[in-house]
Amino acid sequence: MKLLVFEFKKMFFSKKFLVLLAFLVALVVLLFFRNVILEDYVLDEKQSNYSYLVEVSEMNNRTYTRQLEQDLEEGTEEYEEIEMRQEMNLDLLNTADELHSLVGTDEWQQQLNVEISFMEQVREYRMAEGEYPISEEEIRHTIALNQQLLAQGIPKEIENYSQAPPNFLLQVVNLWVTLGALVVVLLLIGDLMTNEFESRSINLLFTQPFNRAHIIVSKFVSSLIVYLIVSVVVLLTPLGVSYLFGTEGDFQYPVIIEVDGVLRALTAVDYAVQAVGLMSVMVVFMISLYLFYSLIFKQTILTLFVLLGTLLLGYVLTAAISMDALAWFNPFKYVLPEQVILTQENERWYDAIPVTLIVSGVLLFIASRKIKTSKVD
Amino acid sequence: MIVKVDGLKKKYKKDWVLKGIDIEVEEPQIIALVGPNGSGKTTLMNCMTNLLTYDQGEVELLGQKNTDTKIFKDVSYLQDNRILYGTLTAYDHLKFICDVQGLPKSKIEEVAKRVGMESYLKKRVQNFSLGMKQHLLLAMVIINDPKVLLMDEPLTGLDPTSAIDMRNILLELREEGTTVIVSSHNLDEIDRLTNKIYFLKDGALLKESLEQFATKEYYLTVDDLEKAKGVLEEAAVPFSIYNQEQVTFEETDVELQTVIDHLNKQGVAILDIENERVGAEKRYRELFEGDASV
Repeated sequence: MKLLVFEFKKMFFSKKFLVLLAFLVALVVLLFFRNVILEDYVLDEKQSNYSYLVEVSEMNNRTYTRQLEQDLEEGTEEYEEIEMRQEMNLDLLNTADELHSLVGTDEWQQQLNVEISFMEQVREYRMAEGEYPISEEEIRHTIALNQQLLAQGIPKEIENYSQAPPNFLLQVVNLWVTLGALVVVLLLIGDLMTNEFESRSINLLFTQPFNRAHIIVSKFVSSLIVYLIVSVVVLLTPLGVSYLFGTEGDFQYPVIIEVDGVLRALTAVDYAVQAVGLMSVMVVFMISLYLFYSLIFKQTILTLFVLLGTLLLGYVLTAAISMDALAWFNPFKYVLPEQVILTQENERWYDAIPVTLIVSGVLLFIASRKIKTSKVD
Repeated sequence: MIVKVDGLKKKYKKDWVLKGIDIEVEEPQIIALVGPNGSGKTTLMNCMTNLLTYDQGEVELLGQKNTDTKIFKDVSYLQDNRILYGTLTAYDHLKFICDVQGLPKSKIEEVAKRVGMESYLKKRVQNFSLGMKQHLLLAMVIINDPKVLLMDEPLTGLDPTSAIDMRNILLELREEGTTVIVSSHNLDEIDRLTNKIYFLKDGALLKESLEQFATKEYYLTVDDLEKAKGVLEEAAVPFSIYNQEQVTFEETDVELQTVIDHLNKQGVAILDIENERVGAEKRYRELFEGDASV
């Protein structure tokens, strides 16, 4: 405990930690004001997108008209098919036009309903072998999300540009769990142990009357505490700034996930908790792996290089080799945890938590044994 | 046995740095470890405290093997200032030692006063001068009133006043029953600290007691240097001329009175007599003369 306090002090009072914390807070605040500044631009983009869809439909219509008038003989099966597609396309054109006119209005429920109709029309059109620049996945997700929003009476927010607390929080959580936390943790712990060997300050710890294994435990716990402090600050800042300067929001805002091919909804809070939870499990694994490597290499650059190499290799192998049955046995599953929650095919988001924690424990145990005979050669 | 080093051997790549070191200390005392740079002084201390691996031999401190970290309750090791953490204050360092050693916090103020660092106790180490860092290192190793104190170059960066203060503290510690093994390049200070010197030469330890060779060197200013030279040469007195101004000789070679008698008899007037104690330095010169690193 006494060593833990000392280790924590070393990390907490380091310039690196304080600068990093200030930088992260500034980054989140800037991100929020970027959303504010780009509000009109995003609405314009949305309108442009619908304009583009209208143009696509108009182009398709011209093609169908030409085919019907010049290329095909009336009464043939093909003629009737094209005629049917043209009708469907005209419906799409009208609906896209309606969506275009609804952008920026307060009629959010109508907007959601029209969008659902539009997506269903696109699906039917695609089934009738019509070509349209919207994928089946987008159709499914949009319909599911809009239905959830209508059922709960929550207006739709533009993804990654919202000023509402839950949605801005989601935006920050996604950035945090997609490399953000990994990079921050690497910066925080990068020289936690190796620097002790490089600067020889480890000699101070090695010449004190306590079990050397406590050094590993205290470094592990103190880095974890520092990570948690940074996480709390990073996650509270978006809430604070969006409550102060943003718009109203609802923490029941749905996030659509796919479980065994079926779309389901999580609340924004549940998603954030799961994502941050998985990231924390990954960070536990990462710190353990770092401490293990640092006792082998005792050199910062080499240790970080090997650590990053291991994480990258683990991630690539996880992505490349489909091992649904053994998913629970893969400690590298949570390198990028976002997809693990969003798409759960024959496996659950929490499957690999036990093995990741067990492997971390084993690494810490080996490191604790190794440090007992570690020398500063 | 307070300190027992038995046949300690250490090899770096193909070279033996320590070639079978034996040390036995049965009574509290100050032992100086002297040798040129790279002679293995720090390596020996690091091996004794189990910071470095060694190839052969055994080390016991206060009757316990050096692999047992519990020995550091009564054994302290003053190392170079790289072991300090720049972002922490001197107080943080001392509090850490107190915490892990189970000492009361009152010891912090006590030791700070003893080494004269009360004024910068709460300042961050990154703003310390070399001398301030040495003070902190000293405070850190004496706060637990150790029975054995190993010190690697403790006088580095100290101004003359601080060096005198440190010497006095070490002499006090010896009086209190602490065995101090100190390595230093400052042979004058070593002369004042102890007469027990272990010279480290080519990986071997040469144990000496300064009493065996401690001597005085005399410097005589005379009215006629050329005449004095002739007189002393004729009397076969071993002497040399210092700085083309003085006649100089060592007490062990010839007694002062004999030289005075010879000169007076031949009418050479002695204007002034100075003397200097030569101990560690003289022996050091004898042992290491010609070594590139001396």
